[in-house]
Amino acid sequence: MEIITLQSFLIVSLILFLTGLYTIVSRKNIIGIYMGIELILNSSALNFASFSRFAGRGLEGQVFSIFIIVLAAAEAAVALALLLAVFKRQRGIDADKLNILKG
Amino acid sequence: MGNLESIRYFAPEGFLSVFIITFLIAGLLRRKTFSKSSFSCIAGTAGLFLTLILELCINTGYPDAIVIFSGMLKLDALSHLFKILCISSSILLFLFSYSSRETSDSLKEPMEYALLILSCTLGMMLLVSSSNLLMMYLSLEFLSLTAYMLTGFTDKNEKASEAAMKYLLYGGAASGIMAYGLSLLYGITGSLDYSGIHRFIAENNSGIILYISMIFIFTGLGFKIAAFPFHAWCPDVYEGALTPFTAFLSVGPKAAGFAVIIRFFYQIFTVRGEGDVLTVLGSADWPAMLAIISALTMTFGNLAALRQKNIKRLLAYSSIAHAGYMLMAAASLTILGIVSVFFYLSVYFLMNFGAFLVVIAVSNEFNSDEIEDYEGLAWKNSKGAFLASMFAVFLFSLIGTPPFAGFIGKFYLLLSILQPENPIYWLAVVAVINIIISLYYYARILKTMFLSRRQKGTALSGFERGQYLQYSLMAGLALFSIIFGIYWSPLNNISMLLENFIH
Repeated sequence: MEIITLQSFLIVSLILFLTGLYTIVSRKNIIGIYMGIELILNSSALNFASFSRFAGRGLEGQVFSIFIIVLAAAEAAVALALLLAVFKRQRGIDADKLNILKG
Repeated sequence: MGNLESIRYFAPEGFLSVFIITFLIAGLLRRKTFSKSSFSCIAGTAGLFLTLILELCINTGYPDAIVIFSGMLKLDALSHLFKILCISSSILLFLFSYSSRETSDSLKEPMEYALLILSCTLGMMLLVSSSNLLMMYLSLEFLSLTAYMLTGFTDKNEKASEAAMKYLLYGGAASGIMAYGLSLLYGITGSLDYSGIHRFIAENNSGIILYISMIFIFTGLGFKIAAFPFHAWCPDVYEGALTPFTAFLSVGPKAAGFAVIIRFFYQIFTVRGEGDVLTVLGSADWPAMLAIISALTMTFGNLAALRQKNIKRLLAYSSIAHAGYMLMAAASLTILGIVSVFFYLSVYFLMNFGAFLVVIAVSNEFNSDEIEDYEGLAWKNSKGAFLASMFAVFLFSLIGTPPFAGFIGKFYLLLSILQPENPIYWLAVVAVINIIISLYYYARILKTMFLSRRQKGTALSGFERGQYLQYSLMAGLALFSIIFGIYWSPLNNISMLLENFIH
């Protein structure tokens, strides 16, 4: 009997997902919020890889998880570029200061 | 179909990809030529026109669907029609950017701007034809990433970078949640291919977890069309972005989002039975979910639009409301519903682009998007009268009064949810009440323009020679909004091609 089963992976990824959601909601710092998004992406990558490994679903899932990693990197590049633009204006990266547009 | 045979059918996207790479290299080698915004816009428009012609010649896609790249992309009537709509909206984005003073003033690198628009178009073309979860997710992100960059493209105004940052944070969260939902769906069904998932769900009983994964996936899709709980980015981004890009965002990516929603729900979770009656497949009652979201979306959009002072923000909320109307037809679970979504989107294409073009023309004059600056616009001079009357046509069409195209579009949307096989009466009532509410804020703009004779603010310049492209585009869009309101059967015949899209 295997000690590490599909369930353990799913539980870990669920915890990652919930941590990510909590981080997004509670953080004030833009980089902090972005780290929450990365956690969610990683939890889904873990899900894909574990479904593909344990449930005998072929390699599609693992390919998907590699693509998620690539996408997270691409999105981080764009996010940091925009963050620089915001930082130059406000001298800070507080999400609460993004308040010119409202209503 | 294997990879080598597929290339022939992939010609429009393939051409566009080659064009993008050539454009990039040529732009780097000939920096001077490409740094003129007129050159970049014209080159980009030419590339998109060739793509459009290739699309019209090669992919007819009906009556039989073609599946290429081993199930990654599916070419059928849905992808064909929506691709045409998306490419045309990108062409209009180029023409609008060319005629907007705000845009040409704030573009330091028109080559990169054009490049991003072309990539955005490629993303939409892949998105509407994808029939695999991986392909769908990748092209959705492709579209989103280019859209974030285009939103924050200018550093001349501080609104743009803030809008782009908000767009990215909301979009990143939505796409992350969507990825989690996709992983659950993959875990349940063991397949990434739409037809594989369809087969699994038809044969097995999957419980509540399917519903959860569907809600998670709809987070990402609903974000693209700005449906109610995921709409928060929409007004901020529309206000902050350059106006031509705002016009594009409200039509192109929204159309692509609707194509994905229709394909995802109707190809996986629907079966076509005897006498063309569609029924839900699997345990999750998605039409009810879409119906509730659509009712909330239109109500919220219309109520929030009532107290807006900025015209771009008002049009943002109105576009949320219109997404709600279209989602209503998508929830109808009838073939007429799919047809009328496309019909409405093409009508919406005409009237919304037209309305934004008037906004561009007015902001060229006043450098402002506030509604109070429109006061007495019709009485200032002949150009003011022209702009105001054009705006009136587009606004009446957006309200949905006859004889404008918006009326026919709304008529079809309402008709589709009152079909005998699956009527949703309460939603029709909600929609009609919403249309009446929307009358108020559209009419407020009309009142400001026509009924006030106070000559406020700066004077208006006359017709300028260099702006004839803008005026003729405006007149053309208005003309079509009237023509399709009186004689709509050509557009209807085209939309009817979607009838055979579910087998």
